[in-house]
Amino acid sequence: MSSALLSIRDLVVEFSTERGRVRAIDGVSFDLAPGETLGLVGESGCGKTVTALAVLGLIPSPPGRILSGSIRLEGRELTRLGEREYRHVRGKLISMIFQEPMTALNPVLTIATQMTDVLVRHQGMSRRRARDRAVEMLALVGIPSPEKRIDDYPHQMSGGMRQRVMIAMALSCNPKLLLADEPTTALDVTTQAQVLEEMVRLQERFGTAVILVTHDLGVVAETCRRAVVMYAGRVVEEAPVECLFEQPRHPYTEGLLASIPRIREEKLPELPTIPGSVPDLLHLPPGCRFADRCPRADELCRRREPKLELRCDIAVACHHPNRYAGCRE
Amino acid sequence: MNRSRERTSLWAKAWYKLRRDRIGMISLGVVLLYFVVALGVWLGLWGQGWSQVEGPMWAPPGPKYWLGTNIIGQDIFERALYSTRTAFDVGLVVAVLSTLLGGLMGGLAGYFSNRWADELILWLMGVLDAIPFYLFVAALAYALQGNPYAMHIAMIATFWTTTARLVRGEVIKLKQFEFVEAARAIGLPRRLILFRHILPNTFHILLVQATIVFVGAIKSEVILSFLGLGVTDGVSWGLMIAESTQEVQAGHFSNFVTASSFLFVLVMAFNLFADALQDALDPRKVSA
Amino acid sequence: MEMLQYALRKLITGIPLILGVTLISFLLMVYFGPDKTYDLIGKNATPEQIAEIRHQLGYDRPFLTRYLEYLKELVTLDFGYSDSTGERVSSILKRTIPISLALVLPGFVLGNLLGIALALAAAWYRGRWLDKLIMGGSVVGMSVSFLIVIIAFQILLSSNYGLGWFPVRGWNVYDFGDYLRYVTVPTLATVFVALGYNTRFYRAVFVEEMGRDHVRTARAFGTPPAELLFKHVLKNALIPIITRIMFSIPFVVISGALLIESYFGIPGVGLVTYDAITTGDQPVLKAVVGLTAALFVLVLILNDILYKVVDPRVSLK
Repeated sequence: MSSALLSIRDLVVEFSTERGRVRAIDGVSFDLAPGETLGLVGESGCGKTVTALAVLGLIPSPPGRILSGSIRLEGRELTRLGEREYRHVRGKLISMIFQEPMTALNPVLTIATQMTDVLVRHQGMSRRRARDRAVEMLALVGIPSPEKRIDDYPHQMSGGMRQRVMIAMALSCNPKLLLADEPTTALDVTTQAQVLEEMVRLQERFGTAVILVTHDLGVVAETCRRAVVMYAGRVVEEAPVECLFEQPRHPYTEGLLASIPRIREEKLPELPTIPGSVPDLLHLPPGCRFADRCPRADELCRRREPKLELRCDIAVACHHPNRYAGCRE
Repeated sequence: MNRSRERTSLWAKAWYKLRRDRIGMISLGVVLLYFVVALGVWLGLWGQGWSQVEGPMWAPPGPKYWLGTNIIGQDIFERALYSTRTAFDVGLVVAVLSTLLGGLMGGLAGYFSNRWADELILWLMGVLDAIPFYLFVAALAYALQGNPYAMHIAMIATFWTTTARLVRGEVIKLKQFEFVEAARAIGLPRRLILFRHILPNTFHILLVQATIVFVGAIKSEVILSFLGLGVTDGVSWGLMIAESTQEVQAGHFSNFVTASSFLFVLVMAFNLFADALQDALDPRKVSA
Repeated sequence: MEMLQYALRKLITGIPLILGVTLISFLLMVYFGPDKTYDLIGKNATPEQIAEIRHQLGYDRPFLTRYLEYLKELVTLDFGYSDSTGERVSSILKRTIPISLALVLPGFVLGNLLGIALALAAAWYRGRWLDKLIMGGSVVGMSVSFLIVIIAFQILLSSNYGLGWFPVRGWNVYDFGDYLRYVTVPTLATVFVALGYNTRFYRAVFVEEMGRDHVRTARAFGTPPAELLFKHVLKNALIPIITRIMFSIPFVVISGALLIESYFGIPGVGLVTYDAITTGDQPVLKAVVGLTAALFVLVLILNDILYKVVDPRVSLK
């Protein structure tokens, strides 16, 4: 995949804590094609957000650091960029939308200031032109009377509005890659759908590639073509979304899918859940990290960690994956 | 209730963290050393010759007078030792009593938040914070007609407010917790709820505040004694510094340097210890 | 208009505070304070003479009357005459307050500005050696008594045993050059002492602010360090900064000036207060306490109005 827009290889991010060093992500690899939407899925604490922050070079340091691995954007190695060079990547080539719209915008600056600052910085626009462009962007994300609302402070807007502002700001410099970290989790259900739709529409219009970080498989099904499933800092499965939903190969993915409530299906006596919880990253088992919670785990799983193996567009890290059912391709 | 088990584990964790904090432990050692010195003075083991006028004026440091003598021939080292006791007298009395008062008032205000008792206590705190400290001490000294504890009382009366504000905030937070609701639901009397269930959970605040007040009291004593509003019988580092100002003008620095160094090392150690204690007890850091 | 209304309403809520402060200080200083009858009277006074003096001093009137009189004095700013010098209290204050302001202001401003600058540096390099250096320095600064700093700076900078560059004590200021010569050592001492506490406080504020989501957002959009620090961190941290600065004003003016002025023999309001304390000059003490309380309430109001200016989320209700 040399045509990849973003290519992450064997990325390891380590945090030093009071109780010792912890690898929040440990050997993560995946690729992203230009304009593609990729879902990054997993329970909280599995390293999704850390992966996104690593791409932007925003791992809080100290205590965190990128220990090894590479992140390439159009072939350019990002992990070796200096702070000054990285600033020209952030917001211009790669943008990010955060989970909490209530706190992600600066409360004491107007929307106009925050948006024009970015445009002036990265596009070299005059303040007036930047403002026009910002109004245009706000209109695009569906904010009514944007030329008025642009002078609002964030607290004068609803959560959904603010998240639209974030999307407008993130796409204002026409970046190649958008990192969306649980962009709709904090919103109420009806707003969630609208904001998601807005995001997808604009992403298609601008041809931006998106990494959608989420724990919500429903969102992935609606918006993504491919998904990467992470567990305890590692990729356990990567597959086209249709395959993932039709025939998940990793037992963890299977468990995740089974725990989504489905409206139309007959009522189950009880919603299945995955027993246990994510292992303590400080005391990882020697074998497969999912072994303790896996119905299929045996001696081999507890002894040796499975490698991520690629077969016909589907990669899975499991000693006993579900049978390969054969996707359409 | 498993709340109490939670509390013990918090203390165990805090102690574990504190023990591993090298600076914190060294400073605790220094504070304890000072405490031993003060204890020795109380027990009459040393520092008893602080008021004897027997040496020559401004004797240089030597085997007889370790740190020399002052303007009227008193042994500076003896005086500095005795002053350690004075500092602990002031520090302990003020820290313990003002912390108790602050805990009590803060607890009441927090428990009855937004009721008249709370309003009254808040008003009192505002008033006490608005009176300039030195004036308050002076006024109390007059009102108490030269009582040697006027300074102590003034410090206690003003230092409790910070503690009370912190405890009030914490109590308002604790009131929402289930264990308090549960205690109320089974009909425990208010007094019992406040003293058995709420205030013990603010102990970590009280402990840190007590160390901070201790430092504040020692530092204030020095300035008040210098201004003639503080220690009236005995000797203190503040009084030593006050008498040293004349000596300094004549080029004799031993009295000044001795008192300053004794004071500085103790305050520094206490500050560092208070920091370490705060770090160790910070629940956010414990769980991190 | 909205602001004026707010200020007036706030002023009314400040009245209980002023009443409390004046009541407590009046009780302590005047009612339980020293009886001056025998200072003003000869040795073999007749009972009539004693009664006459007590009447003049107002000792024979009920407490409430005397307290209300004090309040009237406070409202009209007319506190009568000093017991020890016989000068009008209001003219004493008019003469001495400007001196104290000129003395204390540079140190106050510098102490806060430098504290903010050092705290920004420490917070930016959190956990690195510069942070540790600055924080170590501020613990040392916090641990040295103000008194020791004053004396040490005087020895080092003003006396013959040190550099001897500045006057040892006094305040003979006739032009700006004089002012600089007399104000330097007290200012340096004030800055040194204030810096430890200020830096620590401001660093904690900045560290908290830097951990906020919106700062991460700003970084994610490539905001350069200077803009990040001043436009995002500092601007958002203004409320605790303003609170600290505003609330230290009444104490810097009285308590800070008191120690410096009595040590350096500078004729400001601090020295006047100190003399009033040692001689029991009640009219002066009453004036100082009452005015400090009033200043405190003013600061409370101004503080809230400044909140409104720096933070659009604050509404004056």
